[in-house]
Amino acid sequence: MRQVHPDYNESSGLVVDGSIRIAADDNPVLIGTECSECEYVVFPSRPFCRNCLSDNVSDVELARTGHLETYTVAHTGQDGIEPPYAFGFVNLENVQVYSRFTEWKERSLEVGDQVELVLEKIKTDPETGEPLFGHMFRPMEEEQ
Amino acid sequence: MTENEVAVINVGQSDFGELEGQRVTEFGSRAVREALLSSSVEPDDIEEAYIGNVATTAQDQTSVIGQAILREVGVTGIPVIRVENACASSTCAFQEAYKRVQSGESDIVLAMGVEKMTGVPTEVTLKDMAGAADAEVEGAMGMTFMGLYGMRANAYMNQFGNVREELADIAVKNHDNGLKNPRAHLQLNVDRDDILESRPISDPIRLLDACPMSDGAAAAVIARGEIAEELVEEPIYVDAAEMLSGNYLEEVEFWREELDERVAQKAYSEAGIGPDDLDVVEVHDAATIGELMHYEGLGLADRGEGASLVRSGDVMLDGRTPVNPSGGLKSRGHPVGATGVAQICELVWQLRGEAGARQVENPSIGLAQNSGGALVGEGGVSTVTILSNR
Ligand SMILES: [Zn+2]
Repeated sequence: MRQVHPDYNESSGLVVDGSIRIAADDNPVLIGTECSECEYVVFPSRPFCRNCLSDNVSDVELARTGHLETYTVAHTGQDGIEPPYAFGFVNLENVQVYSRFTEWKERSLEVGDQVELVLEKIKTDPETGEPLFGHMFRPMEEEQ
Repeated sequence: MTENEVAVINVGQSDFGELEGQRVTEFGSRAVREALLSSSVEPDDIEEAYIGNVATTAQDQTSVIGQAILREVGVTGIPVIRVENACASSTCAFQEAYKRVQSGESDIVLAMGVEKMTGVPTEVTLKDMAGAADAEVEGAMGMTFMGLYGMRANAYMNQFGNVREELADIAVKNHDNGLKNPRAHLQLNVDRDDILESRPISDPIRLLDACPMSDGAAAAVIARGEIAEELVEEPIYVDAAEMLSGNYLEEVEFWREELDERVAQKAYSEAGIGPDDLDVVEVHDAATIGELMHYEGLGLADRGEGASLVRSGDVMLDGRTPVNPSGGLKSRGHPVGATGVAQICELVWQLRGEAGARQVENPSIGLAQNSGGALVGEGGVSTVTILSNR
């Protein structure tokens, strides 16, 4: 199943600059920062390590799958986002990431679910009317 | 530093609700006026003032809101400091005032909070509130405050089992208490089914699990203990005043009030008491799950056992440890910058036996817990203040 929204292209706007990119295998990947001194990982990226203050840091690709820490479905909207919509926190091995969810109506969410990263339309830019893109996670098929 | 005893001389509160037609300076000064008139403190006796407020600057009112309010009650020519720390702003103002008196810098200091939330465009109010979370990812990608409570509730119920009905019972309890508080915003006679059938806001949180947006102000005059003894018959002593931020570098356990646990521990140790010694408690019930998790964070119940306090009736007005006799944020209302000092007002009235129809039986030690904001799902600030009538 395709993991990048069909309308997304190189000139599309991201909600959080530099937070996600298309990897060599055409799948999206989240970009964080890993500290070379203490191995602390943070998302989104930062110029220095908040754990040991070293600036010996570099971009790191985060895991594409993780498990659902918790979630909710919001029934009241925010500017540019049509309710209902789901969001929560995903645990990706070494970092907890806030995310919206997609395909949560088809496969209802439960804490502990395995989820995978997709690049999706997040909202409409209230000023330009153009879509803004970013990360979402979706529930994975039951394990075999 | 001289360690002085600090006591509340008197308190005042405006009505909470939609104060249509009242300027923020009007209901703000009403709260201060009440606090001054009910003691023999003159405007000139106030040496400093700390004011909690979140939104007046963003609402294009004034960024010197403290001075504007105090001018209305003749309190002028003193240091006036505004404290902004999301929904805990005025507890933080109170704690700053407390430190000034405790350190011996001043003898009599005013702490207050004020907020105007109705009658301004909803998008402005929502923007003020969204500013209390991380704006870079969560806020930009649709997280809402009730969403945070929804996430907490789902994590909690996954860990400990279904407490949906007990959450509704917390809302019913707080509305019952609020009906006995003439200054409470939402005067609602509701039962469990009303809560469970109200419209969903952020699963599993429903409309009647959530606090309203209110206008209101609250004020407290505090002083060095021996001065307070001269000025009022029954000073209410401040036995602990603590606040902490979250542990943002560690993973959040959404089913646990870890921040509360840390700040409560500090406060209990400062006051030399434990949770079993409390006679009356006010907590930050912006949503019902918040109140339930604060029971556990404050040690009133073990982790996962908060709902048992609801089932046993321990937290009811006539229970072992009544929680939110004022009606809490749920019913009294939540004018964000005023909520913390409003909790202090309630404790002072309760500890003096002046709480009328909602008076709990003969309390001597009270605790107020007030939360503000969030980053990556963890609290921005939690405060615990312990008061006693000695
Ligand atoms: Zn480091």
